[in-house]
Amino acid sequence: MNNNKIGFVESISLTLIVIISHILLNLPNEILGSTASSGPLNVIYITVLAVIIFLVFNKLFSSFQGKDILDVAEFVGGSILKKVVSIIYTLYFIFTCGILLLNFANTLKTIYLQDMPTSLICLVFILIALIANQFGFKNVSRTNAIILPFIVVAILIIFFALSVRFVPERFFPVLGYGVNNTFILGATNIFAFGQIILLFLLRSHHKEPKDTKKIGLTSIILSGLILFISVTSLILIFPFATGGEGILSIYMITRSIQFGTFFQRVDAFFILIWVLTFFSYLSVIFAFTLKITNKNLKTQNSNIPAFLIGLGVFIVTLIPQNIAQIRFAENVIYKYVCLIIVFGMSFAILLLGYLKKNKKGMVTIRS
Amino acid sequence: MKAKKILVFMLIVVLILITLFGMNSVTSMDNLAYVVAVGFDIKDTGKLELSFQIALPSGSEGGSSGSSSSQSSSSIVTSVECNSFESGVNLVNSYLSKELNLSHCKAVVFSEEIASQGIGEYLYTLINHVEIRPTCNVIISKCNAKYFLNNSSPMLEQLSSKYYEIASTSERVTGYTYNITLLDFFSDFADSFTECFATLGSVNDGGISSSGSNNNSSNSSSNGSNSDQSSSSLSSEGTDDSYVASETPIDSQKNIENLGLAVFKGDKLVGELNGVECIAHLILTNELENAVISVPSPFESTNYIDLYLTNSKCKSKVYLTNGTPYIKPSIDLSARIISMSDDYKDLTEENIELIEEYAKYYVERFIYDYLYKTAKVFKSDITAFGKYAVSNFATIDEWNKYNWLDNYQNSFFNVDINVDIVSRYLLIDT
Repeated sequence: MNNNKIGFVESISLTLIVIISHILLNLPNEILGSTASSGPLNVIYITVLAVIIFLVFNKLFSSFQGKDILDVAEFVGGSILKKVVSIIYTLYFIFTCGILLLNFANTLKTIYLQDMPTSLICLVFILIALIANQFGFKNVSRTNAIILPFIVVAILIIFFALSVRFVPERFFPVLGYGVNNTFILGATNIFAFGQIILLFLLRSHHKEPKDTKKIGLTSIILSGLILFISVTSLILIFPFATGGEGILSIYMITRSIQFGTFFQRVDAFFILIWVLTFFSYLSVIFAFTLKITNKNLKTQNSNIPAFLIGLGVFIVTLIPQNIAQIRFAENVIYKYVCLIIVFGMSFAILLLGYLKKNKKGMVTIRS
Repeated sequence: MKAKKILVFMLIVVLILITLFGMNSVTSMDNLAYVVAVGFDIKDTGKLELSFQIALPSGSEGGSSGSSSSQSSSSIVTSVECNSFESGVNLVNSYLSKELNLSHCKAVVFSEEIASQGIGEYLYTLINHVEIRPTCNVIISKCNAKYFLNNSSPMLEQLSSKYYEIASTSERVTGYTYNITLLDFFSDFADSFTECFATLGSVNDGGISSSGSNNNSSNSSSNGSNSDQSSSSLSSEGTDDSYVASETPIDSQKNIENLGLAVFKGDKLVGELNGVECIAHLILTNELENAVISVPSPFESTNYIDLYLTNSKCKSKVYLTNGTPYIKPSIDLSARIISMSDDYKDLTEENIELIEEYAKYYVERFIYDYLYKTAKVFKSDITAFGKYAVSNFATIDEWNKYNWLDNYQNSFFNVDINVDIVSRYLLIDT
């Protein structure tokens, strides 16, 4: 069992890769589309909200040292609830993974692989994730931890290489579409921290259980920082980013980067980094889904579940018929499914678990 | 364990096989024709005329030119009448039996005529085109775009693409124009607190017949300067920085010339700025690197003193009084005297102060000219004063309701300038 224990850096890397993958595609545009110039303010706000929510969740988890959310579900409703929750989480991961993969495959198709069917591009990524998962959860998380610094550096280069184009006045009007859109409706943008779910599933894998709180807070704050940098840079560079027009804004930034007349067309290098990011992202999500399925089925042979997960993701990539449906799935369905499952359902399970545990404790003390 | 190894091996084999699926669609360089510049014209029939300047492969001696083709030393220009950009590309592909590749396109040239009718639809097409890079230059040609491309024969460069790249950097030395990339242009077009502008270009026939002073007629009529010094001796008319593209009295072979700026309101061309107005624009937008201006000498009315402007800094404030914009730019300029007559010995402290005063009034005058021309004549805020005004609004709804771009024409200005003469190079230091 110790083979699956991972350290501080690996844990944080696992959560960061998810938000980075979303950032590279459409997350900053999605936030700016609903908040406009108050996007940076909104990101600070939802980061604070995410920290508060994590602290609440962590408090609820305090009675379940070394247990993950599936164990809590089992404690609350027995093996039936555990199976139901496992299936919901599995479907959630397969859905988000499939939609994001399809979006990325379409991006690649638009930029470089015009003549290659999208389904084939998706299949390549799925196969790589399947191969990676043959080497186990720990190796996937270690590889991810090695790749992540390169990705972060590439993102920072992307955003700061064009800092000369920043127009600070684009922060104004500071309230964007208004207080309501920034702070009330804008609170739903907390879906950007959907990767918080991984923290609930990782709890039983931490080498040092006491680090759980530190890992959670660090990963949320780092995620918030990366999101803030990306949203801020976009808004300061592109006036049309606030209209949600720039579907591939970050790619457009990379196309504008040139270091003098000697280093031009560096976008190919960034595409390579993105491809690595998505390999890593898919491998991580596959690993988590596999972990949930194995726990649910109580099986050690992960080959068949892995292939089924791959098949599931592939089927999801085949469902949307056009880019409008992909955008709808990513911006609307994913957003609300994430809010319901990650923040709603998980909270309900933890709260019930906490209350049941405390009630049991009281009964034990009284008796 | 062995079964796992076999599984991994099989997955890798399948992966390699899948990646080979795309091999049949690989395009080699032999199938491509590299476009260096694209020109947009409008025909009398209202149809679009696209011109492509295509680089010739090394070793080629010009290739066969069709009825609508002409050639220069390292490129040919092929034009086609079409309904849209993409259909034009297809027609040329069919004519050339090669695929046009726009990934090395360095310039997009619009004729003045098509720009006056609006270029919004072409802009969206170009910015969405994966091959066209957002760093390529946007040029508004005073002449036909096809004629412009036909005459863009590099004199001091081997490659046409390099020529476009290098030609646009002259702004750093002269300040007479400004290099606008497609991304800059589109950003300004999409922005709510600025209007777009582009490099103004034309073909200079190399003769000295063209007059350079006829372009200032609109300046004087639109001048709302409150400067005290309004004598004709301080006017920029007739000086070397008052030309626009094609009017420079240069005696050389016919070639393209980029000088001045084309001003847009929305996606429509509304006017042009000459060299000195472009310097004013660069000063106000903090983009001026270096420029030389000729200031009438305070010592001798027929002479000019050349000043080398550097370290230009401008801070602007916008106040809204009863809904009317009151714009207050504060400019600090450092200048060096780089040419003078033999009266340098008289360069006493008083005389330097006098030159500073003259320089200040001269710069102030052409900045006022520029400001009132953009506000009252063109009604176009290409200086992006809107970005200073936007902080007066709390939400985007309020900002949109105010409609800065339409209100800019009501602006009035108060320019505060300080010119500091630093040094006179070799002969004397101040």
